[in-house]
Amino acid sequence: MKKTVKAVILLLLAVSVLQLTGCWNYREIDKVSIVAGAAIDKERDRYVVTVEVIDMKSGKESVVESKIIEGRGQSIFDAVRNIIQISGKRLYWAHSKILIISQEIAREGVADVIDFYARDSEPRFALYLLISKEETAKDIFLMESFAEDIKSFDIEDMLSSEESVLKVSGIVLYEFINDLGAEGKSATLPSISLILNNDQKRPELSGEAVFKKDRLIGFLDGKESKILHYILDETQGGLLVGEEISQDVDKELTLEVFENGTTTKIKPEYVSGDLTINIEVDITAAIAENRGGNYFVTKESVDQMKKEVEKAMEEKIKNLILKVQSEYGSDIFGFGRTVKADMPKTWKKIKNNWGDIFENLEVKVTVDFKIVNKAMLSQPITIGD
Amino acid sequence: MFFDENNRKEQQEKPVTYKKHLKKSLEYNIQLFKDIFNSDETLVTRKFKGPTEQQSECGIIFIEGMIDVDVVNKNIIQPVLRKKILTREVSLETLQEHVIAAHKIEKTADIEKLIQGILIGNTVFLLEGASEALIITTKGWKHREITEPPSEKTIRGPREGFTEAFLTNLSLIRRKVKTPKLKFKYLTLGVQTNTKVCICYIEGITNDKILEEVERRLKNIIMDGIIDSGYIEELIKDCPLSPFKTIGSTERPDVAASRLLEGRIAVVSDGSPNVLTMPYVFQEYFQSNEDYYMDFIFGSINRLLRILGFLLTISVTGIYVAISTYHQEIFPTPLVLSISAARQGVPFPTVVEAILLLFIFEVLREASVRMPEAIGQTISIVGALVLGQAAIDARLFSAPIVVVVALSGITELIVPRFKGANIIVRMMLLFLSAFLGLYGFIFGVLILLIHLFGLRSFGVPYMQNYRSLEFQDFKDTVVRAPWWYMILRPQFIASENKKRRSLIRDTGGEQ
Repeated sequence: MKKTVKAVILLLLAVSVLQLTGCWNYREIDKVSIVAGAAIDKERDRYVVTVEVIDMKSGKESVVESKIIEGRGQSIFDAVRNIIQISGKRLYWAHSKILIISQEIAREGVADVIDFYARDSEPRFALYLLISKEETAKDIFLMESFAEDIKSFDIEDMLSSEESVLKVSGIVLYEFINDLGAEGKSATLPSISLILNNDQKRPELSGEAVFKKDRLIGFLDGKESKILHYILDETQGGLLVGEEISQDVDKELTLEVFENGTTTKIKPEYVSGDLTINIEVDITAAIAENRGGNYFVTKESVDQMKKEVEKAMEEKIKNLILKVQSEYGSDIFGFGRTVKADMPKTWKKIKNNWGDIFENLEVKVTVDFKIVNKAMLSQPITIGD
Repeated sequence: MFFDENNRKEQQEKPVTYKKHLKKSLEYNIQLFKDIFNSDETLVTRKFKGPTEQQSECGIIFIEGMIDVDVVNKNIIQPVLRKKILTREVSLETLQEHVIAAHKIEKTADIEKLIQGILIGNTVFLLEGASEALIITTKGWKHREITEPPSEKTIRGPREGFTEAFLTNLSLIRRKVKTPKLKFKYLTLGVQTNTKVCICYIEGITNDKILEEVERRLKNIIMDGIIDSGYIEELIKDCPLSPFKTIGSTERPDVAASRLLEGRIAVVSDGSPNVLTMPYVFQEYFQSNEDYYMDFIFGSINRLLRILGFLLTISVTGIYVAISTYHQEIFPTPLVLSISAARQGVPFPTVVEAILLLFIFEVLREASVRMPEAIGQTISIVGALVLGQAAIDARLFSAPIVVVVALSGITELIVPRFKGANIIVRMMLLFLSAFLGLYGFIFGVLILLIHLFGLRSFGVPYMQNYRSLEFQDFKDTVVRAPWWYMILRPQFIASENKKRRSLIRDTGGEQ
């Protein structure tokens, strides 16, 4: 008798374990439409979700293509579900790479839009977010793909190889959510637009979009974004070209910043109610290209160049901070976060009117520039007769 | 343990008992044997007599084909015919001591023993006027040469293998371990076959309790026949329903000897080239005698490969099915795309594909074992071309699942000893994966681990190597430590004389 009771209890326990699988289901991989990327627009009160789904044709050699499908709905999820009517298959979001949000929505606030993507179990938190500079977000999908057959994967490749161009830095969903919630740091997102390249429409990552709270308030252009990343200490290599380094002389000089060759330290100082931010930037670089002008053979000329570069960079950084302070008033540099980390007591005092304080903040910039080598050529190319 | 107590008593009665006794009349005695071996025409009886009339008549009884004809002619018949001392008063003792030239002679009146003697190829010698008889060892039948066993081939190491001949097998073991502490204990099993079985162990190393248990279990066997040691294995193994082996078997004397040295017990059964060794722990699946003959680095690499092979063969189909039907997000994107592309237009669900292909693989494997070598090519053509290429081209199966099943099948062959266990565990994991995804897979792994850790072989925990806290027990597990580092024997088996190797010669243990 006891044995049967035990057996029944064991059986019940074993069966109840089967209920703990959570929310998943048997689904064949060929019975879902894999979403590569999506763009979100708003048309009056309705959301328009445009997805790029991967379309596979089997055969001796399988062909992978993409198809663009559009769905409309009261909410984002509603729109996504409505797409099933068109595609005939359920959308599968786990492999989607990018999410493009239209300017219009971004100016109203992106939190409403990304809620679905953060809440639903399928989309990854490593989903790249982008702001479209075009009229609508879905316009981006008009582009011609280049390296891959799938446009979204093309854009993803651009974002992940961006570190050598530095105009934008790819922000994924969870980073953006963290930035939104963080104290003393405003969020930015990369912006994307279309340009004509060789008579074909190609996407271009054109600088950072600046947010205040969750609303878009403006854009930085590519050069400004680059400086922004120097301040944020996010730079990993990249080039310094022409007027970025010097105002008048040596315009033909191109410097290549070493990978991990840049360190930026932000040190807040609080003296009798006045907050000052000291920014120290160390840059280590090599001469990558040199056309005409000074050949930097002597020590004096190198020192000269060093001074020029330092002066130019300091100016650039100051100008950018001034612009953001006056035009946007949004602390995208994370000064507040630094203050909070370094001087928590002071932060408690000032955090309530951090907005005002930031706009009138005094910033001191010091750039220390080191030139390490001249790559393969130690002497300029000699031109004889 | 294997039979109900009441049942056993009934069965223990031998089916035939000969109540009759030998009498002084030679005629009567010969007739007695003829009656017992009634209508068995291989039984030969021969009466003969010395050169003079006064001599008493002798008779020999043997079975044709089982005896060495030379021995019987030259050592039994010839001396008796030539010697003149055989008066009527001559006794069996005189014959035994002075006339018959055989290395082993036994005098007995026990008719049971005499019959056994005849059956195993000895000759029974009868003398007119004696109510006893001699059993003269004249065994001599044809048996297989000692060759390298095809199932356990090695590149390095001895190439001898056990044969079907009982005494040859024992001698092969004895030749490896030349110590009087190596003990051989005989048992006779099988009511009809009267198979001789021998328990071998090294006194002082083997744990007495394990030895007692082995003997107890062997003595409990009541069966009409023991044709191969496999019968014994199945009858005395622990947890008889488990697909995992708890008794080892080998065709190689060197393996048997090295297991004896680790304190294990070997059971040799007449007529079987497979010698059983016990206790058997899980680790032994992955051990090969070659690991110990080649250098420890190569041996360890091979052993790791075998373990990897086992893990792959049981899990790879299950994991593939689980991920590709439940957790597509785990695959890297390019892989998802290629699997998805390959699956377009395939009629079966992934699980069905996997089961069908596994079934086909097992069919091919079994077919190639039983098939004459001459038609071996058919299998490779059918397997590779028809099932591999054509099935994919016809979109019956998707290419990735064929790759996965092939991987699972090939890795199965790395450790062929697993046999049924592999197939059953793989199927279980596959079904659970198809049913519950990775959650089910983990479930299956847990069931497997619980089962394995619950097993015991003759009192020794099956997974001892993997749960022991003794560092010495780890040295011969996933890797094979160098000999100079393995100082102790496996301690859970050899409980008394633990030292296998000593740094100083004089204290090498008492073995």
